[in-house]
Amino acid sequence: MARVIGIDLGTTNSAMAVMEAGEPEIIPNAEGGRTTPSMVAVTAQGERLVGTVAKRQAVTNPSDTIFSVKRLMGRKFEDAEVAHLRDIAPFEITKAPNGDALVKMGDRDYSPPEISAMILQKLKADAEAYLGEDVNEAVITVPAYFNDSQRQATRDAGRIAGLEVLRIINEPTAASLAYGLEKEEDEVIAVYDLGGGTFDISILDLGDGTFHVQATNGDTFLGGDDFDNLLIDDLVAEFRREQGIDLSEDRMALQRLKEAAERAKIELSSAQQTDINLPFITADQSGPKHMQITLTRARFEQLVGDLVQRSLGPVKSALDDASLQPGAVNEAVLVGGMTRMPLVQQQVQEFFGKEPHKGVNPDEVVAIGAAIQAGILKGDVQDVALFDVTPLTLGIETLGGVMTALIERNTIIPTDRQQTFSTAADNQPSVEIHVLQGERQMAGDNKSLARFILDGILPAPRGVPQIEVEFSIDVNGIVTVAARDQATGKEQHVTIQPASGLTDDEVERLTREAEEHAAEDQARREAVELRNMADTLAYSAERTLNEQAENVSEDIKSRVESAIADVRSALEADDAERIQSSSEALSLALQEIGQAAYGAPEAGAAPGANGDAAAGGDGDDEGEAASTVEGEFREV
Amino acid sequence: MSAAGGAHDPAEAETETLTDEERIARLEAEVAGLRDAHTRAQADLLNYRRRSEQHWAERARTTLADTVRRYLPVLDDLDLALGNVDADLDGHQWVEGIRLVRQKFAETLATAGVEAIPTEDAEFDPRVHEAISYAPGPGGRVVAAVRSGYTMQDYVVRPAQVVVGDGSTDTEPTQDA
Repeated sequence: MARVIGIDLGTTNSAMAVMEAGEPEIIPNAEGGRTTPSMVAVTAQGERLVGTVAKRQAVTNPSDTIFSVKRLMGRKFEDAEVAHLRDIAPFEITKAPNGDALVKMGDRDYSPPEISAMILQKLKADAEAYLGEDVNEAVITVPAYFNDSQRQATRDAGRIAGLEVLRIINEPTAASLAYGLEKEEDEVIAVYDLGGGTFDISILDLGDGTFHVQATNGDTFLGGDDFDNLLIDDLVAEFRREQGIDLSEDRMALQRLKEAAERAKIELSSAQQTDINLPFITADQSGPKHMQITLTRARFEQLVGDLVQRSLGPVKSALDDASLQPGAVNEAVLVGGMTRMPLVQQQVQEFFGKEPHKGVNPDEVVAIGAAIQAGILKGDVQDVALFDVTPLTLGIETLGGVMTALIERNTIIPTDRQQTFSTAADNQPSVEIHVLQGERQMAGDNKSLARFILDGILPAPRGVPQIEVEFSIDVNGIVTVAARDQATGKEQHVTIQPASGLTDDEVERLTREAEEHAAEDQARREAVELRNMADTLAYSAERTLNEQAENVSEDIKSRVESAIADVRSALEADDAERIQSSSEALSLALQEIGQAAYGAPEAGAAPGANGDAAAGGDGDDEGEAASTVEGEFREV
Repeated sequence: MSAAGGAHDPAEAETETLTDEERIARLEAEVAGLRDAHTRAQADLLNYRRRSEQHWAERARTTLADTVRRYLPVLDDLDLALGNVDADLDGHQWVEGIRLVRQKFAETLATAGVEAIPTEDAEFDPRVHEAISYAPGPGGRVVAAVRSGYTMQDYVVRPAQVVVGDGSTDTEPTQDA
């Protein structure tokens, strides 16, 4: 089944995304960029260039480099927006016999859909290269205010590019989809979209899973570039004040300043201040001049505060048109690169009185939403919605009351996991499997789902029996836990009905509690693990001492015995520090046995009944337990 | 729960009495649907794995390119500093030392596969050059490099910023950008 891509065909930049294993993912272009400049050019040699390469040559070829063609889509030559673009664009805008606006590029006139098609063709080709398959269908986004002829023009552009446009959707709707808002009921959503060159505000009404546009407004000439320009002007002015040199006529200096300003703007979204450091920016008779300016976030916000304020005018108008108060808006959504700026986020939050939805990449959310829409149309998303996850971690209780997780929360079901455990005491005849659910480190803090006993374990030293525990969750969320003694093949299991009566609120509470207690739980777990380790060490040391009795001198024997006694008494006293230090001492003492044993060649006989070769080894008996056993049961 | 179950769910229709043939036909249809869904899921997984490997290889390359890109302004500044050496200092050992520092920097980048994009007397190519202005000179040719550009394993880390000739002359390019 061929895939459908979602395309955000923007005024300044375009982006595309696709559903990949149930998740939307941005498709990078051939140059590696996640967005592609919406620019097309024809060179003197007649070569057509699209995207980044068109942008790079724009200066040398201004009359044949077309940008902002979206502003002309479905418009008449006489429209006000077209007139405005005619004033500022270096390329020629002409009038078709039917009154439509056309653009002249090279030696002929093109309709705006033809130019848009060239952008779409590039996106299509790059998507095909990335996906390794043909792409013939797409969902394309348009501004909510686009009328029928503008939508038709966009559809035509898709067709010219060889794409069947399955659906044209509104950009704010796509953004809302990207944040999963379609799952909400009867809500009013405000989408604040401040991009590179335009600002749009849309008020949507969500009901019955459908988004209705209540009102739109905006400023077609307000965007990130205006912010950059104000900053550049300010830097030029400050340099003039300090050095008496005007950089505004120096193209090279301006180019460096532009890049530095863009970088500073981005850095100030996360830092409180940044340095603009441009050595050798220019020179005069006295020698080279450097620009070194520290720019604070407060200063930048002061500079561009009016621009942010300016965006709120259209927001108010849109709300008026929808006959709504700001408080009536249930969700605010931020779209566009400029919404990364903390001041913008803060103003939107203050205006609507609620924290807006904001993603890591606000300039990608429209394309992401388009891909989700494409997935819905193809049934991909529906399939994905059918997959369920386990809301909480499942595991069993092991020695010392620790919860050992087998299936982590948010694992997609159906799934199964196995892990091998062992006994905690010599000749332990049975183990208790205590099935737990929850995110806390200690068993007692989690929810107990079931307990059962596997008995008939053959007499053996602790750590030797191998009990395989398997957790299995079927598609309906039914958990089956089975325990099998590898030696006898004896098995017991228990089946637990789904969800265990946990409501969504409970799941949230349990997860939150786990986060709140993470540090203390970890400390308790570590304490238990230290005790377990020390206990195992003392046990192994005793065994080793018995086995190697003939190879070790009385001297070593008494030292090891005393070290074992120290560990036991520390365990008795439950003194973590002493447990740690006495264990270390015991480890060292044990090495002497190893040395003595290697000195005596008859050592290290067949593993025999104890089933483990570690005894004659280097004394590092912890390895014995760790090699196959990750946890141990409590004795029942 | 099954993805293919939606279209024809036999469990829904169990109240009608079905002949064995009908039941078999339904079940066969269901099996076919499930087999199809299963194959698709497997194909999806294989495709995803393949792309995921590609993705990580690409990721490694872009991460390295991003890192290199962040360091390039330091090299630019060294170039500017060395390009602005006062006549009195020319040939001074200290200046030579800085020149060596610059050389070492470039050599270190070269070990990562980073190469400078040629600009001298080059034909303007927007794949590797970014025009920042237009000046008298042979048309379509680079007449001055404003900032060096670099590639890494055929990937443009940063295009070279150049001044392009406007075709007004075929003589030697002017250096005055």
